[in-house]
Amino acid sequence: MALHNALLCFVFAVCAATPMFARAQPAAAAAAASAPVGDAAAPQAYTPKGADTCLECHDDETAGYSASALFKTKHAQRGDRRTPFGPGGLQCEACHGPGAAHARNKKATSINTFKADSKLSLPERNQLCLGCHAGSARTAWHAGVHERAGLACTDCHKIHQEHDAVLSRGSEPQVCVACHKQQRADFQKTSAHPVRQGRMGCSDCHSAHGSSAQAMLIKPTLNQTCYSCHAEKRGPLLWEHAPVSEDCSLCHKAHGSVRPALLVKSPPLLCQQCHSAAGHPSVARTGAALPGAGGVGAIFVVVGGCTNCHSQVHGSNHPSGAKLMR
Amino acid sequence: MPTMTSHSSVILLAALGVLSSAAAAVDTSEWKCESCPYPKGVSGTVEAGVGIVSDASNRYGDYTGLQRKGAYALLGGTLRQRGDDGGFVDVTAADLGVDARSVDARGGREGLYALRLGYREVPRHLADTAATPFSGVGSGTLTLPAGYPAGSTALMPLASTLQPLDLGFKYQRFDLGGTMLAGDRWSYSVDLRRDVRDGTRATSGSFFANATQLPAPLDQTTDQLEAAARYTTHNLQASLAYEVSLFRNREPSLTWDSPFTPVVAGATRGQLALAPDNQFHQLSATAGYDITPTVRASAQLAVGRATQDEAFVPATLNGTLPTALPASSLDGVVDTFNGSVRVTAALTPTLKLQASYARDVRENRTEVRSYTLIDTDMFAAGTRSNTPFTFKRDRLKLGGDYRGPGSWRFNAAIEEDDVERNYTEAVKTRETTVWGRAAVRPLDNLSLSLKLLHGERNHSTYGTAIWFGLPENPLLRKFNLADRQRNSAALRAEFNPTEAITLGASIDYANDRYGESVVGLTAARDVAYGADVSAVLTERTQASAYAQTELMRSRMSGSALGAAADWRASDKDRVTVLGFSIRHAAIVDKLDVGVEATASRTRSDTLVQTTISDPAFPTAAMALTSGRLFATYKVDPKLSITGSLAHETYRSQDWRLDGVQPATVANLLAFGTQPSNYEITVLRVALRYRF
Repeated sequence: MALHNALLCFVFAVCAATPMFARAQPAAAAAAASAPVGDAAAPQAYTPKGADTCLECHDDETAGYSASALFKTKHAQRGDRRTPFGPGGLQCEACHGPGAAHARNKKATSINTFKADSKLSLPERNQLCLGCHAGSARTAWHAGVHERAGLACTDCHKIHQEHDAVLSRGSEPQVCVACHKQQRADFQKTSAHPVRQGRMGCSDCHSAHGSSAQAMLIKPTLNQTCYSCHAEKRGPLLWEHAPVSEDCSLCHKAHGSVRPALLVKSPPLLCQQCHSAAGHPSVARTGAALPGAGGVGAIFVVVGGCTNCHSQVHGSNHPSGAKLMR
Repeated sequence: MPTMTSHSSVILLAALGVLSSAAAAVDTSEWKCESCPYPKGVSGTVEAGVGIVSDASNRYGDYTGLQRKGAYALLGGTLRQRGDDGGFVDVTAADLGVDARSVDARGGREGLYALRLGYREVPRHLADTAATPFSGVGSGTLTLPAGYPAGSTALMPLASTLQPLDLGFKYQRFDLGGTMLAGDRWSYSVDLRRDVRDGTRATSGSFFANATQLPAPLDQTTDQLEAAARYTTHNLQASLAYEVSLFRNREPSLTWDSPFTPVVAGATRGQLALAPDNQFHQLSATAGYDITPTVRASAQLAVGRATQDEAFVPATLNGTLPTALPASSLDGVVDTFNGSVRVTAALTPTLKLQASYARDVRENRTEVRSYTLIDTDMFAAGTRSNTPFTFKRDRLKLGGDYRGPGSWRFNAAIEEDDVERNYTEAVKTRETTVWGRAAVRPLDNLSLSLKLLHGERNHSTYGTAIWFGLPENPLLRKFNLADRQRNSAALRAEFNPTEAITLGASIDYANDRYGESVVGLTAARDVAYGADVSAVLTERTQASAYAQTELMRSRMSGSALGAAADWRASDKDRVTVLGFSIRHAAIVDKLDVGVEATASRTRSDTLVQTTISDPAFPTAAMALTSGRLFATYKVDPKLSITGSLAHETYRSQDWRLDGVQPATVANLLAFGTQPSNYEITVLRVALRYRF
């Protein structure tokens, strides 16, 4: 009930923010909002020669920036009128804003540098990118975790490099683990998806720009994301195993596990969390069950444990597979 | 129309395409870009060389394709072409000399259309040591030589019949796609993908208490097609897509001769039903709309249907048991519905609210029928009806973000997650989670953040699941249904003592308590610490290092008597990962060198006790240490020599496999796979030519 009341308050707040109910803003905010960065009515704020003006100084290269590299990328495609360098485009100033003042005083404070200390705020810098790149994959950016965490587009994307590392499967994880350090460790565990070997990237499962699913997955649910590569698990099957149909992560840790097959726990304990029926499912299997210790009940603990017999753990389409043994 | 003083003028400029108006107002006739360094013609690289692997290891070759000792070809390259009319070609090829090769080719005319063609392989090598007496490996029928069956593994003629088994498969992916832009607002795309798996994997089959590890054939294809249309304006983005996925399995079953003397007459052969052909169709739509420059809504809707109607395999291969079936196939149908809507509103430049609602439904419409319950081709005992599981999930989230005062930033949210299930002990669960995060930059070069989370899950009446044979212990609470209290905290710090050095530290803590669970999972805890440093030591030298450690612990209780807990179990896992790298331009524009290394150590301890004298399981451990020296020498602007020397050691011990040979367990004929250990050195030398 409390959550529903809060939702009503949210709706009211949204209405308050819409034009119908707009209120005068505090003077300080108004003054800041009107500070000119790109004034469409003042062409003289732009440089006299566009990129040729900028390249008089910015012809350098560093580890993270290359003026020349930009011209090998899609942003500088002259034949595409959508790009800053297309016919009639504002070239460098399409993204960095009018540069006449910066060309005169050479100060970083007089132009949008896209850095954290840029004269533009984070939402303003991001909106410059979203102004062209709002479609398709970025539809849900506004409500996503990355946007809420204050991530800038340029935190992950490097426009002034020939190869944007985050757009290549092999190098993409290096960008993500700059923040997602736990996953860097997970990929080093005993079993893991092949990210460490460069065979998968984070975007094979996640949509970094936001999605409607949990954990920004590329499909609407976790299971649908898994089925996009593991379609053999999709079914439907005659005899389903409830946790399999509900959520793969009930038994698996997708980033990596200290156990084989990305399992969160090994059989038999993994299974005994849910199976306690009288008979062998509820019997405690201690170290005494190991072959070297006497071995009574070894079949329940070594190799696949419960799955030595119940091998069809993801479900079975066999008419006699009710116990997941056929 | 909102007044200009109400919102940032730049946001308006960008979001409403006013920049294009700016472009029209600015005279760009002199903006000739004469000094713009556009590449001319075709450019690219070709890399060719040789690699040498010092030793053989399937574990090392898993995913890498370098499982064999000896030399292999290093071959790869890139090709790029840009035309002034928007034409482009991009081709990247890598690892062409090994079974992990990949090619990605794109081309088209930017702003009009683009085509994509891709191919990649992922090799899987699943065991270093495995053996089986079966013939017919790779097919759907496994047979045994003379001397079988036997009463136990000790009585089987294994010494003369075991053959080495190379478990693994090749995974291939083919991609073909195209995108076309029609005017300023519409775009259309079609993507085709084929995944192929070909080889073997491990499974097992049993007859009552006797089990046998079996090599199952993999000959599977998944074909996926997605067609989409997208509409984009400055404040509206919409798309409509149709996706179909077809899974085909050319080996629908695995039949094997039982190596164990039959306990019941006729129980000499068994048959596993492998994954049946299935297909999935889904129609989805997304939309995003800027209601105002500060209020945005987006939504997604997807409806799908998964079907499976593979002919049943026989109920049993034992001619003495009944074989009647209520139907010849399942005719399984699962309908899916996924809908979500999200609204964000920036009430002020510093305060933003979000609300979202999502509903996900998996409705299994498969008909319920009654089947004779035949136990591993040995006994027929009653009947069992199938249980088509349906899940419905509703997630409601309300959150806010506030910036200020100063460098402070606050985020908070309250979330409710409701799940409804059928054929279950508790039909409904509800989890309410509250979390808050505060971040601040107390100094220009120091940032801190702290996130706290608290969640509570409750369930409806917990009853008895009557559909699955013997009932569970009434005191058991399945961990996905049980009442649960979850608490977590995450602390982050980043410090730049100088412009060239970045230090980071993190602490993560998560604790789950299942307070009402007398039997089952009762608690889980995860604590992780991390530290990292990156530094630009000189203009020519960059270095980085990191260390992470994680401790995971879980506890559960069980009861052999179907009553109060009479045994307890705990799992304790410890993981430590260290890494560092150094890159140095030894001779500027001539010689680059570097070294990188990682060390990963895991230890798992499992303890199950009915009394304090019960022995623990031995520690399961893994130690992975990798190091690589690399260098690139530029002979001239077009030609470089690259080389690397990589060394990797892998040591593992796992009580589940240690010493478990095919005949170790009397009633389990195992592959005898042992924990992997290897020490491998790989030397790579290649010439890279840039044109």
